[in-house]
This record gives sequence, structure tokens and C-alpha cells, in this order.
Amino acid sequence: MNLRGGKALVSRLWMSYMSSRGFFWVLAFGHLMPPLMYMFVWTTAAGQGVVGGYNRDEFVVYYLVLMVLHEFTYPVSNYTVGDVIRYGGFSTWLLRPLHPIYEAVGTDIATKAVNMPFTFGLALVLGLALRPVVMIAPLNWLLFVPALVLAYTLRFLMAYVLALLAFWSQRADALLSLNDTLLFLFAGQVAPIALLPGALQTAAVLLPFRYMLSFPVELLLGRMTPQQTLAGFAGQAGWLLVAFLLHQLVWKHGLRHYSAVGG
Amino acid sequence: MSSQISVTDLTKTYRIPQRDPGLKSALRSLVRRRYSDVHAVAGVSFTVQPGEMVGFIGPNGAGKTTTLKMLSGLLYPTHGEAVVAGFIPWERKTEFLRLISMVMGNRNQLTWENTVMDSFYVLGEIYNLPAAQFKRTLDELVTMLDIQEHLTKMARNLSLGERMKCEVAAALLHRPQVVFLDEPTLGLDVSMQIRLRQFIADYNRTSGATIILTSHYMADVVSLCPRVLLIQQGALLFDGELKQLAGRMAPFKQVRMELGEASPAAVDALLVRMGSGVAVLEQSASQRVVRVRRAETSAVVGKLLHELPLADITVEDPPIEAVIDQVYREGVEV
Repeated sequence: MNLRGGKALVSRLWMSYMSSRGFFWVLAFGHLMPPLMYMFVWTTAAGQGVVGGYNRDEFVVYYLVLMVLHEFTYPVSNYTVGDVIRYGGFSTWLLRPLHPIYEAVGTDIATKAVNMPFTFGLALVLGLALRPVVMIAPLNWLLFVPALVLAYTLRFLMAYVLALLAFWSQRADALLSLNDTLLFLFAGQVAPIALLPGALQTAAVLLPFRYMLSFPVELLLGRMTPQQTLAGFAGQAGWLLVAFLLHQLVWKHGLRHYSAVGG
Repeated sequence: MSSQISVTDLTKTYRIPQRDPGLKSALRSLVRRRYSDVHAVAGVSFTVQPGEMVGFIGPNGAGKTTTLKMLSGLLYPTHGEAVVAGFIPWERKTEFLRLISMVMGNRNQLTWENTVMDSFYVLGEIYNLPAAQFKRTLDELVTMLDIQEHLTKMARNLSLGERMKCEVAAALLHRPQVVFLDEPTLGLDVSMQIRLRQFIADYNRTSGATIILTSHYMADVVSLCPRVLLIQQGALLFDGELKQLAGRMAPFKQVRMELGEASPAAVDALLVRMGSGVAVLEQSASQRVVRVRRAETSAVVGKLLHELPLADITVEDPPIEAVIDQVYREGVEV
């Protein structure tokens, strides 16, 4: 573990990104659009009543939290990892006494440090404007934190594994786009999972995407029974293990492939 | 003294996908891919002693960069062994990575949107350098490379030459024992090439680092490397002094004549009579320079001195660029 190097890397990247913060804020604004649009769709649909167990205020809070979490867990660096592999810059990373994943993690953290104040600010303004009233139990806040950490780690690692496929294919970033699309459908962006029709809801529970984004939101809003909460954490842990094993496999063989064909 | 770099039968063969032009062939390749083997490095062996500076030369595609990539741990070899600073490079141990550095003319360590000093600071942290050592090394490199005024500038605002000097400094901040310089003067103007060359010579002398340098500029190799390795089509053709290379590889000598009292017409007439083995390279009112087959040099010089009242005559090897050019084009074997 080279934490000293990793820390310096994050601060360098953060300084570098701060000089282009306009670009990053535009990027973040783009990420926020789908949850925002669906928030307005569902609050309009709910009106003064309830849809799928959610009233207007709950939809507002659900989507505001989802919006912040979507930005927080968005693995933006993994598009750059693929490019670095494709264009040979990966060799520079490999020549340093620092595991290349530090670059990806560093980029991710630095991006978040630039983007999150913007995202929080926007969510705050929307919250103040829409004034939803929802009570959140202290236990839910407590459970929310580990769920969020696991969601971030799972989403990052899964996207990193897909990005590493650039070792073999020039077009591996298409899989990252597919990953984003599936997240849109199965991670509570189009609608909270409870509102999805039967088969889609089952798929959402089985696939990893919900555990990368909407599970912590549902947990925070108290939409889960204790059994569902346990099952949710188990889903996160299980998929994280899968992602970790996939990473080990792809990294080992990918590096060997990269080292066989040249950077 | 044990070698700093020891290479035995190092081989790298790439499998390259191939297909004929046209739609049919493109569709066929989706189902069944054809490959061909490219022998980038074919059984190269050599050793380099600590503190030695060696030039690695050869035409484009000869296998220079592939060899350096194997020695720096970026590539696995297909076959063979290498030990660099006591480590097997492609195991990429952290201790090994701390001991080496590689400067590639087209790659960069500097972050474009940060100041040069910020990039240096991060490298110091990555290599876990003690603050005092970092400062001392940085001061030395800044003085030697004359980059003080660039430290506070964004890397993207530097010219190619300025950036290259900063890249070299970045690569040496951790005081590597072994340095691979792959085309460090690529694209630089003459003045910058000379300054960088001088720096590399000084650095080698003062730090005692082992340096392998590849360059297409013969001036780099001539001025820096007492020893050269010549590689062509993946095979090592020559390992020795550059002068020796010129002597062994050039099948010709250059004979320079100061005409003195000899009339130019008489000289030219004699040269024509000597036949195709003698070719005029330069001529002026008072001088002729001719190319003579190495084996015939003594006979030609004897005849010239016997038949003409020349003021002076000198025999020399052709310029190294001409020899290397000939080797690259014709692949003359040693």
C-alpha cells in the first residue's frame, strides 16, 4: 500500500480538475438530468395521492437523494482508464512503484471533490424550493452509510473491470455505456424498484445494478423490512465479491496480454 | 564486478492478426483469424556494467524499444532471461521500479494542467522520497538542466524542448540506478539537443547511473556512448566501440588530397584510369575527396603519391552517419 503516493496523486488530480471545474460541473449537470426529469414525472403522477407507496414528498426526497448518490457513485474515471490503455499511457503508470488502480481511484475521488459541492448545492436549492416533508429514522441514517460505501465500491469496481477489457478490445467502452444503460433501468432511476412490473422487479433484485445506487436510497427512506435490508446487504456483499474476483482475473490476464503485445 | 544489466538470449515474438484487403476477407476474419509471427527481438545477449553508458542503435523496427520495454518490465519476453539491478524486470517488483527509470520521447510524467513543480512533488511522494533527499536532488537537477523558470508553469504551456528537460528531471528525481532513454532528443532543435546531451553526460559521470540510450541522432550516440549495440531485425549485429564499428562495417575509406602542384586535370585523368573502385565525392580547385574500396586503399594511395606531386594526402573512415545509413539500408553483416 503506497498511501503517501495515493494521497499526493489525489491532490494533484484535484488541483488539475479544479482548473477545469466548469467542464466537470457541466458533466455533473448532465448526470443529474435523468433523475431530475423522473422526479418531476413521478411527482406529477402522484399529485396529491400515492403511487406504488410513494407520495409526492417521498418521490422528491427519493430522487434528490438518488441524484446526489448517482453523482457520488458515478465511476467517471473508468472511461479514462480505457483511453489510457488504448493510447499507451498505461506504460507510464506501470513504470511507477504504485499500483495503477491508484490512478483510477485518485481520478474518481478528485472528480468527486470537484463535482460534489456543485451537486449538493443543486440538491439543496431544489430541496428548499420543493420543501418535501419526510421523516428519516436515525437507524436508517446509520444503515445508509455502510450501504453507500458498498454501493460506491461495487459500482467503481464493476466499471473498472469493464474498463480493463480495453486490454483486449479497442471498443470495450461500449460495455461501459451498456452498464450505464442497465443502471438507468435496474437501479431505480426510471422508477423506484417497487414500481417496476413483476419480471423487471425480480431482475432488479437479482442483478447487481440496484446495489450500486438505489438500495441505499430505499434504505434511507425506510422502504425496506429488516429481511429486505439484510438481503440487500447480502446482495451488495455478494456482488462485491464477484466484482473483486472478476477484477483479479481480468487484471492478471489483461496485464499479461498487455505485456505480451506491447504498450 | 557483477553486471548491472545481464541479458541472455532475449526473444520477443509478436502474433499479429492479418487479413487480405476487401469485404470478403474482412467477413472471413470475423470467423477465422489469421496470424503471423513477427520476431521483434531474436535471441539478444549482452551485459552492461554499473555506470556504463551504452548506445542502442538500429533502424526503425529493429527491436530497440521492444528490448528496452522488456528490460524495464513493460513486456514479457517470449524466451530468454534478463536481470536488471538484481531483479527480473517483468516481475515488476516495487523495489525494482524504484531503481529504474525510463524516458520515452513520446510519453510524459508531467500533468498538463498542473505546474511542473506539482508534478515533481507527486513523484517525490509516489517514490516515497525523504524531504531532504527530494530537495537536494531537485536542486541539482534544476541547476543542471536550467529549468528554474519552468517550475511554476503549467506543463501544457512549455515548449517541446522545455517540457523534455522537465520530463528528464521527473524521471531522475528518485535517483534511479538504471536509466533507459528512448529517443530523448526526439523533435528537439539542435541547441536543445546539445544541452540535453551535455546533461546526460554530466549526470552519468556524477551519479554513476547505468544508462542505455536509443537515438536516431548519431550525434547523441557519438558524443555520449563509448560503446554501442547495433540491432537489426531483432538480432544483435555488433557490440563494441563506435569507431570499431565504422572500421569494420565501412567497406570504403575516404582519401583526401591536397593537390599542391598537381594539376586538377591530371588528377582527374588518373582517377578515371583507376576505374570504378574509385569514386569522387568532393572536388574543389585545390582538393579532391575520393571513396576507395578498403582493400585497395594502400594500392590507390601508393599510385597517387607515385604519379602526382600532391601536397598532402590523408586516409580516413567515412562519417559515421554514412556508415550507419549504409548498414541500415543494406544490412551489411559484421
